[in-house]
Amino acid sequence: VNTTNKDRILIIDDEIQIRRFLRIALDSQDYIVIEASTGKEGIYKAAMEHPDLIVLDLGLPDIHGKEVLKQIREWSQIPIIVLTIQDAEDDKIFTLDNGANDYVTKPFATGELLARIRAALRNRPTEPEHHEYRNGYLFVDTLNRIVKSQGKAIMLTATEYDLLVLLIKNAGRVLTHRFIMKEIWGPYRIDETQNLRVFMAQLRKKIEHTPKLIMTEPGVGYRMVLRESQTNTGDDVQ
Amino acid sequence: MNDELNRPSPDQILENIKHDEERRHKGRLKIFLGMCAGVGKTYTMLQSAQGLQLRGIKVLVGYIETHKRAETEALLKGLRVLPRLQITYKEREFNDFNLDAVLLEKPDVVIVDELAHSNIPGMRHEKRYQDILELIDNGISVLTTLNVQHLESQKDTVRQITQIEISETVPDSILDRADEIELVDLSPQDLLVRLAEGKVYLPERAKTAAANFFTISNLIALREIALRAATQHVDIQLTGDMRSKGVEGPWKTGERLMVAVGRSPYSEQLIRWTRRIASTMKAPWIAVYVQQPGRLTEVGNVLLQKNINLAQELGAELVTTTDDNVAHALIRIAKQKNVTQIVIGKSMTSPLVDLVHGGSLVNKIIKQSGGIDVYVVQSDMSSKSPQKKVQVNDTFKSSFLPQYGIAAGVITLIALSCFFTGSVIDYRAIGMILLFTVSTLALFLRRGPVLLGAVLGAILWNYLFIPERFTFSITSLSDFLMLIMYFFVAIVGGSFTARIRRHELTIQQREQDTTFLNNFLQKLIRAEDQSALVRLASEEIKKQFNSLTAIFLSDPTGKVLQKVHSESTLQKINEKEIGVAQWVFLNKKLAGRQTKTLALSELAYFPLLGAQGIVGVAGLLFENNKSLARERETLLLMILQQFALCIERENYRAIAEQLKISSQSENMYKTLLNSVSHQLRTPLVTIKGAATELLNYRTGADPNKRTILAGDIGESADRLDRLVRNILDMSRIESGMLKPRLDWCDIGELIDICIEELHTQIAQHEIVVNITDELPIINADEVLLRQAFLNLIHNALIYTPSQSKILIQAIHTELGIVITIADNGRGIPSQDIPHIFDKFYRSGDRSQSGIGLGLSIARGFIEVNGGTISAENIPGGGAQFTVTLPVKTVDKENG
Repeated sequence: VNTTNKDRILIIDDEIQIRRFLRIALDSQDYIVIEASTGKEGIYKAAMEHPDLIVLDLGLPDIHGKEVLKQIREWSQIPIIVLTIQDAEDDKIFTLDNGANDYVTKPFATGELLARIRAALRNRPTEPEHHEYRNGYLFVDTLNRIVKSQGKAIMLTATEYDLLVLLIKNAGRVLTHRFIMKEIWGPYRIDETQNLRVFMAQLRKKIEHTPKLIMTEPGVGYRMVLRESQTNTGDDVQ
Repeated sequence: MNDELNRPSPDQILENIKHDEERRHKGRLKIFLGMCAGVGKTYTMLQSAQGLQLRGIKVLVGYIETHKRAETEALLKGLRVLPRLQITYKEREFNDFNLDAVLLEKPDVVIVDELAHSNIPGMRHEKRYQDILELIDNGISVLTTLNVQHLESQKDTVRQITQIEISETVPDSILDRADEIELVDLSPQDLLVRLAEGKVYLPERAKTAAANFFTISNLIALREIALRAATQHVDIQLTGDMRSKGVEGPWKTGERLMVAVGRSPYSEQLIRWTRRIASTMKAPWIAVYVQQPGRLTEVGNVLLQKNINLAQELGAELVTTTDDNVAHALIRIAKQKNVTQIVIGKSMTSPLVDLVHGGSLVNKIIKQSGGIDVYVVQSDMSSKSPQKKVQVNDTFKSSFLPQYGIAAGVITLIALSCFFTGSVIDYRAIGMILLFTVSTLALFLRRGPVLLGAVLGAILWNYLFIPERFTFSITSLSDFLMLIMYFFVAIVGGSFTARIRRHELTIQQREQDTTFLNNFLQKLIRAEDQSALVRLASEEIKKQFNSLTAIFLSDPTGKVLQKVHSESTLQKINEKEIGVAQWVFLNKKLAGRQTKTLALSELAYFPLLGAQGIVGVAGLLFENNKSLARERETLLLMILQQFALCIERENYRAIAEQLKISSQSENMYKTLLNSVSHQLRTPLVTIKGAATELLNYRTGADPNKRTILAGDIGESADRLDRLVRNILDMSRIESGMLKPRLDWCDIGELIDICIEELHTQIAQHEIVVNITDELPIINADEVLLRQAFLNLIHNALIYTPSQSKILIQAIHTELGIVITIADNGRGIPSQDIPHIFDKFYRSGDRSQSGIGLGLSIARGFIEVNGGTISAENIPGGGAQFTVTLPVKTVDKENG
């Protein structure tokens, strides 16, 4: 956790109770909290206060959260986590496809939100590219194209490998079906998600143990969950 | 007199109240009546309007003809004048009264000058008085002017006095509709002075006629007519007053008149005459149309309709009957209706034709009339419109011309073949042959052609066969007698046969109609819904009348007319036509082609009147724009009436259904409220209690207690969340708006997610998942299926004791993917199995929280994905839910 240079988090939500417990939760994690109660105020503060991350509620009284997201994305790439409701799959997909980094379904436990915030801050675009990824029992070396699960080397097909790299590079984030399809198969076969299902099932069979690493977000996409890394797994190779 | 008898009966009182009610909703009509142009009606009307405006009443000048007279125009000051409507008709510009603008503006009082004006074709109504009646029906009061010579019943009198034919007339009944009539009177001398001063406006072309018209004697006569009309109106108002006060009814004379209506132009005069007599006698009168066998020609039909309309407009009660024998029918109706006096025209037929018919109509009626008085009225020959006469004859002839040809041809052929067979046959036998031919022809042809055949036969027989041959001279007395006898037998026999034949046709037609109506009714009754009714009616109309039909039905509120019903035989209807249908719907009157309202429409529109009100409108498009024969119209109206009644019945059924559903859902709501209020409160009580306890300093300070309380709050919140989600899911299913978002999904993956999500609750149970690797991916809504499986697994968890085992299996079969969720608990009580998926149904054991939605949601979501679900008990103990989901084969395995 970054303590020397505290991350500043902007909460855009019209409910005072929600802002209040979020402030308490975030304060306790040493984040600096900025609050906005309307969409317009949120956009204004996003520009003026330069937060490191935005928590955006979609149901705002003045303008829809989607609109706030779009307007902020016109000039900023700061991570945005969207608060949405159950059954709003369209909203989830829309916001993810329009630049939201993640979403959390209300009602949520603060622990869940904090985990997403950490993941989003970790994946900031400012972070330099590196070629070794570790997540739980999984190790991926993109330079040498090596994949290990619980220390054992795994043979993957080209597509399975691309899929895994995509997931691990974005670990902690939800990737929509469309996004994955576009990244792996290109923009022309975006709706043929049956391939994705098949490859995903094969990939999971090859690499997964308990606890699971790849979570299905029904109706939305996939997320690679961030797990405590077993640092020794990768080191064996080198 | 006994007071008891004089008091108005409840029915009478009711009628008076109804009368008053109608009046209250309707606008008032005031007519400024004058004897002729120039007496100052418009001027008086405007004065009266100024007076109304002063009293704060909103007056609008809808249409006015000031003829640029300064003093009249001065009176327009301060009144709002409505711009006139611009109409193009036959490439000429006209301007006229803008009815719709007034209806839109809804003033208290509107001024519409010249009541008798005829509208330009293409406007809604044929005549301005119809515009005015519509205004009154819409609650707008009207001031208008009328010259007495424009009254329908005065037309003949005025013509006799002034020798001027009046073309623009209004029915006398308009005076009865008027609430007030103000007679604008001027002595003839004064009028002539005004005329001389040039104060009377006359159109250019009328200037020459004016010299003949404005004579002292004419004016005196017209003035008398005007005065009489005004007095009569006062009389009617008085009787109205008398009725409400229980004074004996207006028909104290007990007289009742009857007039026969036909298609002859003279019929019109008879009708007017009868109305005049009836109104002076204050007697009710009946117009009877005796429908005779055979069809009328197009023109005959139009004339007949015109006369019937006239009679109705003049206030007659119309009776239609079908009979071959007119005299008999008239006497029958007269006796049924207690008629005291019959009015008939002097016969115009020749004595010979009368003889064939067994005497003239007049004679027959007089003979059979018994106690009924009979007026025989001389037709006024001068009034006949020669143009019309020619028209009638033309059509008449042309339509029967082939028949005349056949008659002449057959007779000539028979005569010639006899002639060429030579002297084999005796000339007397030839007479018999010809006679036989005429009688045979009568079986197929109308009377006219048969008579022609008879005459032609007589001539040919005489010329070709009777000695001296090839001359018309007859030498022997017996031959002469034979010819005479031949002639009479042929004519009488032929015409009788023809009559019997026609009679048969009528009966046949009537039988056909009756059978048709019966069948039609049977079919209507069997029709299962509105669409079936519409389809049936429009198809039957097409069969019977060769006419396409556009049927518009009202919406369930009965206030708005919907678009053309999709089952109608006519679908393409333009905006203008829809407007006509709307008008018919709002005014509940006929309109369109063949009527006086919006006559330029392509279709004839009939209101569909049920027992309680209008249920829709039927628009009929007749082939080649033909008009509908009167007797066919009766059939059409009956069809439409039955159809309307059935539609109404169907509407009521739908309403009853709706009520049933809403009462069902009301019950459901009660259950829901009872259940939900309990289920919502429990977690709320926990949250509230735990939160207040956390605020308590001592409890809050104890980390163990704090953890327990916070955990309780979290759990209660989850429970509330589940409840809300269930209710929302259920309402999504109920709304019928639930559409699955199809995408590819993996059942194994789905089950894994569910178990992951329920892991905190699974802790007390053992879950075994047994899913084959080879399951195909299916095309379904992942989110809905996930919720369905969550609910099923959750159900298994809460209805089994802890440590129970739950086995989830999925296999691929021919039916699709079959997923079973089985437990080894107590199983489902057998009486609950059939209801287990019903919403709000909860198994007898209520110890578990929940409102009985979980399983019905699971079913709803699985069914929306094309799957099925069932529940059963396993023989060894425990319950098993089986879900079957269809599999669509995926073309490619790899990408």
